[in-house]
Amino acid sequence: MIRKISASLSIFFLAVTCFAREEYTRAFDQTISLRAGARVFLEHRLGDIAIHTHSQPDVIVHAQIRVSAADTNEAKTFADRIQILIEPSASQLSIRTRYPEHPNSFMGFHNISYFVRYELTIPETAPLDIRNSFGAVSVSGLKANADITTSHGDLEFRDSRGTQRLQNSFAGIRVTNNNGNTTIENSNGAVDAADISGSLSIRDRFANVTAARISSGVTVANSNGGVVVTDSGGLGNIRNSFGNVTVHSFRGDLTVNNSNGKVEAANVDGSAELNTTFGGVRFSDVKGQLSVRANNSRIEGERVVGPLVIQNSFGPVVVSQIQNSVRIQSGNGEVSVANIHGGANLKTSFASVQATDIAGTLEVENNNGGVRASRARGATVKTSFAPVSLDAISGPLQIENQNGMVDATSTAQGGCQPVTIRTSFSSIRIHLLPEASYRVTARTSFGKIRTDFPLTVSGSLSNDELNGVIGGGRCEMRLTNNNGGIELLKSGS
Amino acid sequence: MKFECGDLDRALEAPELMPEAREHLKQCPACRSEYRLWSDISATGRQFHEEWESPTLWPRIRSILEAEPKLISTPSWRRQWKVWAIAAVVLVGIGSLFLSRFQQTVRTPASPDVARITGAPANRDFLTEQALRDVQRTEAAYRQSIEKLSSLAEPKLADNTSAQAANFKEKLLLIDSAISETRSNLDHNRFNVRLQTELADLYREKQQTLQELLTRDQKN
Repeated sequence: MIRKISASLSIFFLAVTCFAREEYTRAFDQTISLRAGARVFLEHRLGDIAIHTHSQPDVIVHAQIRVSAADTNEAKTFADRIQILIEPSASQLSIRTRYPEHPNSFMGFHNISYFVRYELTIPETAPLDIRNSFGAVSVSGLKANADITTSHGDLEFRDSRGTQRLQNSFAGIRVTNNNGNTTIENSNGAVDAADISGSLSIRDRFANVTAARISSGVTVANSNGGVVVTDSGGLGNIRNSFGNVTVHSFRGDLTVNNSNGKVEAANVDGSAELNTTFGGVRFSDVKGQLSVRANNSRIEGERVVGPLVIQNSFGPVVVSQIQNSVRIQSGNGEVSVANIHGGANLKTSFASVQATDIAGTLEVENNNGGVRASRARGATVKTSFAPVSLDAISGPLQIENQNGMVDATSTAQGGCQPVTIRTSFSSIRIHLLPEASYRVTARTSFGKIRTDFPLTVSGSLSNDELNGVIGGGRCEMRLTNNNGGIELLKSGS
Repeated sequence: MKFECGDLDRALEAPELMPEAREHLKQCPACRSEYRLWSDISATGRQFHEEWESPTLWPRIRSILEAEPKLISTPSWRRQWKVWAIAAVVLVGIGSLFLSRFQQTVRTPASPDVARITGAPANRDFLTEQALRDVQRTEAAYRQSIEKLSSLAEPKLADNTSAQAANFKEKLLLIDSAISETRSNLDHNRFNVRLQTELADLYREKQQTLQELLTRDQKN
């Protein structure tokens, strides 16, 4: 038995170690003088390319031709048939790789494999044009324009000057330190660009995009991948879908159009427009005006210097510390604002509104949702089927409700701050300072009117109607209810 | 959550982390290499029984043991230690060999830095005959698996007009086109590691895309 197993093992290992293959490497080296202003054009496939630069006018071509075949002779024969064509002309130096059309082998062409790797040193001021596929490309130190296309191999471009156009698919593109405008197109491969003194334009899909320290504008069109832009300036225009967009420290105006993904913007020196759907928007420290348009998203943010305009639906909106006015239009989503240094105009439906510390006037329009506010310089509120609770309103008060209670505290002092409150099927309760001065008209049906204040009454007296004067009667107060009581209370009582 | 290299092990055990893991893999060659290794080891494990060089070995061992009840009934299994030892050697030998072949075949191609040309080991550029056979078997397994997934995904995509479905269709078309292009190149260059690696990556990406599509569809 043991002998049988040993025999099987021997056969197995013998089978594994047979079918050895031979490899052959041929080096190609040539130096060509390049005319001033001429470009270098390299057309290649199946193999990596590395480009270095120097201050000399020469192009130094080093290529490594590698072949694998059943035996060395076959590999050598095939390697010798791989051509590197170098064609100088007045305007350009062309370098082309030509592989044999039908590799010849005693076992058929399926038995040979091959590729060519290039290493070029070119004049640093020579424009560069590369067409490659199934190979990586790396370029460093170029001080001229470049147009590079490859696929299925990483593209790296660094320490350059000039207008650059870089294209790839199914592999990444990485650009660092280019002094000039840069255009990048990729598909199914990540893009990473950093330290570009100039504008940057990126088009990509099915992959992530990152850009950092871009001086003169960033344009990104991506889909199905995240976009991250940091510490950049100029005009920012980012379009994306099915991925998140994050922008931090942007010195200029910024526009983000996203869908099915979150948007986050922080430290924007200019104005910003942030749009998305089915994601969320988060912002902070925007120096200019800010506009946010979203659907089915949560919107939250703080510290905006310019006016803030938000449009949303089916998602909450929470903002604070806005140095200017705020206008929010939502639907089916809660709205919460705090520390607004201007006026606040808030609209929603089927959800609550909450506002605190509004330096200007508060205007709320709601349906089927409650309103709660404190410390505003006047308030105009309209809602239905939900309570309204306002505290420390120092200006005029105008509240219109249906089927919902109203509880309001006025801290108006000095000038005339009129009060008008209307509701139905619930109660009205208004709290006034002891020194309040109003001409009161209160009317209800199927309810009672009660007051803490001494009133000078005029006309007929009844439980459901009252006309009178509080204090000096400086200002008008109208309280109207149906099927609910009315109370005029002294603050603190 | 910001996905980092250390999260990869966790993601391999938790499918819900895989979308983030895949995004990370696109940008991290080290993790990509590790993930590729794990995937291929996993694939290898599944196929291991097919690679058994001597499929009658275990039945023979069992029949020998059954034929000698006296020996089995006593603690004398130790007397059979040579059989067990050889069986273990066979297992370990074949397993190691197979894994090493895979590691060799899935090794990433040479970096774009051609400065490595002179020092690049020859076995990184071309496959051996044995490695090619392994790769072809792996490819066949991948294709079968993908075909099954495709047949499951196809009806879900056909009737779906959503933007997300359109994205999946577009991505699958893109990958199919790249697979076709890569295979066409491989027809004349079968031992080229870069091309084989690229094809494996494309299959893997297609498989992941289909899995993602089906998983999302189940969640929805």
